[in-house]
Amino acid sequence: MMWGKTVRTLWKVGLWLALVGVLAACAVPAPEAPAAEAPAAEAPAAEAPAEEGTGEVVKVALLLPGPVTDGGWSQLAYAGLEALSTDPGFETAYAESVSQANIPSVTRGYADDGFDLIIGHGFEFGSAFLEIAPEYPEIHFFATTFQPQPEIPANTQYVDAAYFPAAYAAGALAALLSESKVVGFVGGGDNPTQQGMMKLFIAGAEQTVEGAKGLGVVTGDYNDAAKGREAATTMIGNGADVIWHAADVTGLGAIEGAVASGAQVLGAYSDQISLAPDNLGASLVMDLAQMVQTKAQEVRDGSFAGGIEWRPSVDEMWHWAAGEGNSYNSAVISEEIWTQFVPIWDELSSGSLDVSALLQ
Amino acid sequence: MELSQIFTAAFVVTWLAAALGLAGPVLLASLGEIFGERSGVLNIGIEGTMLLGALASFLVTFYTGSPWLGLTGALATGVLVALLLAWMYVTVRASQVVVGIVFNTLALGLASYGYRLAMGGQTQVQKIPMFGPVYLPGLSDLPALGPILFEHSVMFYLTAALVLAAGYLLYRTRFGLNLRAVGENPRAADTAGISVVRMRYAGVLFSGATAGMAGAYLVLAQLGIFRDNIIAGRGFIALAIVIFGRWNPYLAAAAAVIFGIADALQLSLQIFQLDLPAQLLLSLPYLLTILAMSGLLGRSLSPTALMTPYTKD
Repeated sequence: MMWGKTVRTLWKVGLWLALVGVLAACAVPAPEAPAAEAPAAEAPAAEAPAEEGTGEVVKVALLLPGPVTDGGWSQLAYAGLEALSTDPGFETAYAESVSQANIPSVTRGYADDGFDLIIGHGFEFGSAFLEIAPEYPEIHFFATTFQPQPEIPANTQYVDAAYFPAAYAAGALAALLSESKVVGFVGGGDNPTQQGMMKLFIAGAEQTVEGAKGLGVVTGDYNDAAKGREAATTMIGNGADVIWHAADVTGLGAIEGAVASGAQVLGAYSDQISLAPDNLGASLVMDLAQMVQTKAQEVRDGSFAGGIEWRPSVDEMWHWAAGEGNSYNSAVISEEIWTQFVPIWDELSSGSLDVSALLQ
Repeated sequence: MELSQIFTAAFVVTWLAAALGLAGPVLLASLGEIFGERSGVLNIGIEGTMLLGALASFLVTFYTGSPWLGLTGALATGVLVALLLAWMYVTVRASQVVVGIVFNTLALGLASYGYRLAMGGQTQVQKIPMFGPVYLPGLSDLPALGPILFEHSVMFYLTAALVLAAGYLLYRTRFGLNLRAVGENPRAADTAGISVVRMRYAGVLFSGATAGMAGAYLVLAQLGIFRDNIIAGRGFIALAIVIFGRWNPYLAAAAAVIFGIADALQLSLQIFQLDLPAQLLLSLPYLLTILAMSGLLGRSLSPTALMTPYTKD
């Protein structure tokens, strides 16, 4: 009797587990099985060989730390891959929500399948590629993160994505926009990049407008929207009237916190105007789609350089946007303020304003 | 920096208002969980239930434009999901811990798949209409107290009312007495003619209902968006609050506010760039929970039959 029940219970729990497995597989394509995506069916030349270049199809794999629907970091890079997939010269594949523990097996899986370029989109891939890349000298690796150590494999490229000049620019624009002369930054994970961005945002605000004050909170989490909201309202309660965030989902909450408190806000990574059409001045959009396409093209034409840290200027990696075709939202930012801001952005882009010393 | 420079009126008001904002959803989830645990069922699945409630409230509001319908959808989803969980916990008598944990994983898969099915192809983050702050004439204008207590959304006041209702139901009604009896000594309760199965189903359904609404609280009163990770562990914090609040709705309210105060304090203190690790402040409420469990702060009174499936024969 007792045994019968135990067996019945185990059987039911087993069924649950199987169901979970099936659903998890539906939600997140299994990273261990890198099935190449077919090129879009609408492309008329989909079955023809590549028209230019070497004539061979370049196989590009994109490994993402989050889902392709995250509305930010992963989704932006995925958009670049999607654009590539319409080009018959490329064959693309991706794995989303790749956990830290799965990085080696997923990366080796694509490498063994003969992909030409493997892009690891996030700091998680930085040190993993140091170990894996030398095993596959014929394959190109690109990790969207700072070079983790002075010695890096000859087939691997890292990127200094101009986070710090971008944060300085956001601080400058926020301070120009502020009436109370107090501006606030909401950060995500507690790591050196986020801490540095907070520092540069504050410096940008305080150096641009005399008497301005920058506040900052690093929430410790990229994915806690409710905490982002409270971080923003806390700074607004302490005098801030313009908020900028650099924190994915936590940042979405920060935008809502600013809206609820009647403050103004600047977006980050993607164009976030739809979240706050009346309060959002502009979003500092990261051109990750362009980055993915550029690296793939470089592999195709043979110009991809390994063993280096790519250092694009801030305007190569970022641009300001507020809806289709606009750099800023004129309902929030006046033309006068924007005119004051543009020279700062230009100086940061040309390198004549070097903010790297402010990190020390 | 002098303490008096930090603890200004604006600082304290902002801090406490943020504390209540953070406390609200977890308190709402913990209220129902108290009923579940008082009946003898530890429903760990509330994290997943909150997520499904959040998704339901988002989708219903997205398609109908009404946050009230969204809240109803979340409540219905919570109850439906709890029915399934109660069947596993009470009828099948499966391990409550295993079922709860497995269910949370299932809920994550379901929610992320469901959101993608409904919203796939949208490149922009979709926002829905929300409950705005309720203006209470007289009260909202009070200095200090107004911004702290009386500028919240309807969900906050609903939660406060539910604390009183839960306390009344648990301690002043026959239903509450029966529910507690089943959680303390199911055999004795059964002998006295109380249906253990029915009481435990009721307890789990209550926990599902408030967990679903707690998910809706985040979506409809605080964020206006849905993401897979929107709950961010709040279900587990609610479980800690139940213990810290000693399975009592009033004490749970106090516990949730203490959690909120500690959480909001680390956000507030960062503004002043003190050399104080934020993690230390964050760990405080959990430390208090461990102390509460250890008996150092008085005897902990967990329901005796908690996590023990009941067999009639």
